[in-house]
Formats: sequence, structure tokens, C-alpha cells
Amino acid sequence: MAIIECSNLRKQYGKVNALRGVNFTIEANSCLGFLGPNGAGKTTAIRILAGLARPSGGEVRVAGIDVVNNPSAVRAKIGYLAQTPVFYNWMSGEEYLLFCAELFKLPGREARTRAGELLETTGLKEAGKRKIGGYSGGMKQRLGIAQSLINSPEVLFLDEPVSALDPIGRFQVLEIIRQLKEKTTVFFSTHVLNDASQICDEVVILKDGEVAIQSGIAELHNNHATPVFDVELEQISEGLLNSVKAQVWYTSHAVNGKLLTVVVNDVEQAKLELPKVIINQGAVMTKYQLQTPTLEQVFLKVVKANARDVKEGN
Amino acid sequence: MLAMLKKEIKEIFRTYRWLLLPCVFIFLGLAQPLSYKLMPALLENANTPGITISITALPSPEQVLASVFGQYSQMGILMIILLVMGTVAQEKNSGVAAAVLVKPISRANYLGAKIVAYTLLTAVSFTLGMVATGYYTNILIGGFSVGSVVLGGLVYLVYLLVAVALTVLTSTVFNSQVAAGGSALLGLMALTLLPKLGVYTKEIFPGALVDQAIKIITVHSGEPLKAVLFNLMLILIMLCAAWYSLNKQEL
Repeated sequence: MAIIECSNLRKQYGKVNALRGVNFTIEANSCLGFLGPNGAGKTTAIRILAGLARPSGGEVRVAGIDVVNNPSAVRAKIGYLAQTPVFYNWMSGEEYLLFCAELFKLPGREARTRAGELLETTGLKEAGKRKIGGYSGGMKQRLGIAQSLINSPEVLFLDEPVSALDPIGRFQVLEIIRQLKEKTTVFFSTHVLNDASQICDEVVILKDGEVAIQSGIAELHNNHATPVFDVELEQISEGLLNSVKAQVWYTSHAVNGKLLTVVVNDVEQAKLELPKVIINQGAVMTKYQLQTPTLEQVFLKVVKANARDVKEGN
Repeated sequence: MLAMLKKEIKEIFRTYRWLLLPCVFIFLGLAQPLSYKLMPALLENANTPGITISITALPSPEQVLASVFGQYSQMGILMIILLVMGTVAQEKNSGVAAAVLVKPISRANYLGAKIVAYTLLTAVSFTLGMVATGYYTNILIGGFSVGSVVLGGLVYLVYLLVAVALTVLTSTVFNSQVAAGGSALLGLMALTLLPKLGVYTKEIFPGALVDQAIKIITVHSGEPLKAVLFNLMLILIMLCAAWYSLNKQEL
């Protein structure tokens, strides 16, 4: 069952098109990484999904409910954590959780049990009685996750939950999310693909307000992380480049000093023929390597669609 | 339903607003009977050569009590605006308003809780101020009709509540506390001063509440009903405007 459906979602701020027709569908009980460079429209999209902002056009359904027409029904079923979590600093962590539980109309005893459990899972049991004003950034982030879970939401929206954290805090929060995804659909945005690939089943990559890719992590590897040839030469001549370009398996290339990177569409064929082409041109290889790009490089490739053109211009 | 109200009241306690506002009202109130009582002695001691001021009679207890409203209309109102101006604006600015309103609570409930909490705070502070003033006026100056003071006080309280409602409105409309406070102050000045130009509006706009309250206490007569009803309606309109504005905003 699809738990989040976005069709042709658009958002305009004055003349700026923050979202220009975003489409994606997410199945229940999966973990989705919502990726994109800063300014791609991730926060705008999440705020619309959580019912905090109104779309300029298009349709959004969360847990089968139309968010635009029936925001209050959606609010009862979701959890939301903003990019920078803020609270009432004069409250203690525990008080804030109890306050949130009351907003969801949880009965007193259940609220106290739930708040206690959440403080425990987010490692704030000791700090629960202290004022939030004295919490560290990492503690606030974990309290933010705790408050977003108070109603055992069907869908959890986390906006950049780990981006501002140090490696330890990042690890802790990712671990919490990993445990959550067994029971609930987690939708979290990040600009770090590595975080997403550790815990997500699927990613949506947003670029300039449009979905560039929606793909499972494994498919992302297979389809987009295609190997490239890195060849180091004593000298790179114009003739060599021309004869490489003339091959049927050639897609693109880049030159960086003495390093020639060749992207191909048929790796097996190129494995056989690329060395021959180089040797036939009389060039001297000092290094020859077939390299599989990391997901990070795939991400960069996707978000910088024009990067290849720039390289070809070199 | 009551979660937000409980939070607002707790906040008023934790941030010491419950101490601040009553103190302001009590001190401003006490200063009136005290200064009237001590004025002749002070003037005698000053003994400035060349100037002779003779005070023929002390003001009546009623006049002393009514003079408190003058103080409250300036410092008291200013204090109320200072305490209320951040209530929505600051929460919007920090993002905590979004964190709360993404949960199943209506914006009407969110605003309503603030109104109720600050109305209570203002009413309690004003009552304590009036009780203290009445007590010392009775001791230092003389007795007065408690009934008239209570009635006059109730009429004047509506004036203070107009300030609360207006500040909640500006705090909802603006994102900056300073803009909210400044425009509330300007708005209240406009509401008080502009009607002085016309005869009809003079009877109903907020300033009329002060005039009527003073009349009720000093001469035991007055026709406050029209002004009270109009201003209660004004408060309701301002709250509806705040609700409308908040509903339109993206947090």
C-alpha cells in the first residue's frame, strides 16, 4: 500500500519555483532517504507533506488522507521533526514529552509510560528532568525524535535529522532510525547520501524542485554506479583523445593533469579495447584502473547534470 | 483541549510573569495614596525660597483611587504589551509554533489558550493592585464606597483587556516581537486619541472606558454599558482577526 503519494506537487514563493511538479510514491513500512543539494526543495516538500505549508498545485496524500483538504486528520497520524528542533526551553525534556502527549490526547498514565519509554530509547533518561535550555545540540535532536514519536506515528518526517551532528551523535540518531523503520514509515531528508545508504531501502533525489531519481539503494548501485576507467599517462595527446572518442563504447571523458577518466557504456568491451587504443597511439601508461564510483559520486553526478558537459569542454 | 492553556499558565509562572505584573500594578497603585498623603509634608520640607505652594485640602479618597487609572493607562499598559508581545511572534520566529501546530491542536485553541492565560494574569494583577490601593487609601486618606470602586474597576479592566487582545493580534500578525509591541502601542494610542475628534465615537472607543470608570468612582454615576459592550465586541473582532491571520500563515 502506498503511504505517501505526491503527484505534480508544486510550490511557488513569489517568482521562485521551489517545487516544479514533484511526483513520487512510497510504500508503507519502508525507509526513504530524501536527498538533494541545499536549496533543492527538500524542506519545502516535507513541510507540505506535514501540512505546515500549502502547495501551489498538485495533490499530496499521506496515509491515504488528502493533506490539503484534511490536514487535521493527517496530523494525528504523523510525526514531524524540523531541521532545527526547538522546544519550550523552560520545560524539562520529560515535561515537553508529556505536553506533546496531551496534544495527542493520550490518557495520563499512557502518556507517562510512553514518555518514559521514549526518554529511554533516545538515551535521555538521566537528562529528562533537566531544563531543555541546558541541552546540547545532540540531546535536542534526540528529544526532537522522541517528541515526533509520542503518538506512534504511521509516518515519520525528519528534516535533516543528522546533518548538524558530530559523528557520534550522527551514529546514535541513525541507530534510532534503524530501529524505528521496523514499525513505521520513515521519511528523512539529508544531503549526505552515505547516511541514507546506511539505513534506507529507497532514495528520492530532488534537484531544482524536481525528482531526478527515485530508486532502491541496490538499483542505484547497479544502474548509476557504473565503473569508469582511470588511466594515468605520461602525456595525453589530442590524437589519443580523438581515437578514444571514436570508439562505439565511448560515453564521455575527463582530463585532469595526466589522468584520463573514461566513462563507457559497455564495460566488458572497453576492458578489451581501451588498452589497445592507448598503445596504438603510442602513449605510455603509468597507471590503469577500473573504478566503481561510490554512491556519493553518483549523487554528485545526478545533482550536477551539467558537470559532464563541463568536463568534456576541457 | 486544556493542554495548551496549562502550558501557557505554567509558562507565566516559570518566567516570573506572575510576579512581575502584579508587582507593577501594586506599586503603581500604592504610589498614589502615599504621594497624596506625603505631598504637603514634602512641600513644607522643601521650603524653596520665593515660591509658596499651599495645599488647601487633601483630595477625596475617590479622587485618589481614580487617579490610579492614569498610572495604569501608561506604565501598566506598557508592561502588559511588553509581556504579551512575544507570545505568538516569538514562538513563530523560533519555530516552536510549527512544532506544536503540526500536532493535532487547532489554531483557535492555540490562540485561545494565550488569550485566556493573559486575561487571567491581567485581571489578577489589576485586582491585586486595586486591593492594595484601596487598603492604603482607606488608611491614609479615608473611606470610600467599595461598590463604586468595584464597578469602576470592572469597567476599567475591559480597557486593559483591549490592550491584551490588541497585542495578541499584532503578535500574531507580525513575526518580530518589537514590531508587535510597537504596533500594539501605536494602535492603542490611535484607539484612545482619534475618537476625541468626534462626539459619537468619544462615547464608545476604549478611552471612554477610562472616563466612565473615573466618573463611576468619583461621582457614583455613569453610563458605561455602551462603551463596555462596544469594547467587548472590539476584543472579539480582534481575536477573530488574529485567528484569521494565523490560519492564513504558513509556519
